[in-house]
Amino acid sequence: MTNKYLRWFIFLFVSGALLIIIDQGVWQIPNWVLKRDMVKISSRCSQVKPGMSFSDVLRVMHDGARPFDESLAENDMHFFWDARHECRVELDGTRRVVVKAYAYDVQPSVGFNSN
Amino acid sequence: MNKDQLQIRLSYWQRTLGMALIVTCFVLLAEFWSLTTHLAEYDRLYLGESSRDVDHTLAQAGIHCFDSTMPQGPQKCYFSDPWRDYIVTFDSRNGTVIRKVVIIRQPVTLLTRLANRFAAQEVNDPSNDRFRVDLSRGATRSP
Repeated sequence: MTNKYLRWFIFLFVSGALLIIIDQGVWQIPNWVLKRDMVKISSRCSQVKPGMSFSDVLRVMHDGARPFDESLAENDMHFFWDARHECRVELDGTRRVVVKAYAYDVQPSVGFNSN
Repeated sequence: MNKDQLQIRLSYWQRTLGMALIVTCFVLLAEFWSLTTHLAEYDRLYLGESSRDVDHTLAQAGIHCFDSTMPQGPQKCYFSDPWRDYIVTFDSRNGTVIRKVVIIRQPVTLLTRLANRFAAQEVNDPSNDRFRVDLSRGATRSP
């Protein structure tokens, strides 16, 4: 009888532990894939050349890659692949073509600003 | 250990593993569905696109876009799936997309989800006086 309860206890304990391990592992997969796509932005930055159009830049940056954060200002575009690394694309304001593109390390700041 | 005992033990572990796999698959299947939908629609949004086009794209996928606009701030569109949050910011002058952000959430395990659910029930329980709201001082938790 005691053996039966012990077996049930072990069964429930092991099932619960496996459930948590599997669930935790599955949670990591989509985020691992996304992070891998984000890192590709660093190599995409070098493919952006002067004279490219605004839409060409977007095409290059999203070709098998996905920025963590991307923004568009008057004369530049920003593509982050993590919180500290950015690809900056400077645009000619009148024709909206690329003047310069370069990657650089962002100075760390306190908190995250999503504005 | 004879041959019969070995067979029973093997099936016992197989049952244990099988149960964990089946339950986890059921729990995650629904979450995966929203994951693929939301990420695919996020990828269809582009910088410079109008807010009307963004609304149309998201509405077609059945995604509700929450407006998280702060007073005097730029208009924003916020949506999420169990794995990540998506924020799209619009230019206040011409209503085009000027920023797109995807934020990866920390992994939340089944245990954490269950704990959060119980915690929410505890806070919302009117008979529980451990969580008391003093409007003159703000929310306080009594010892």
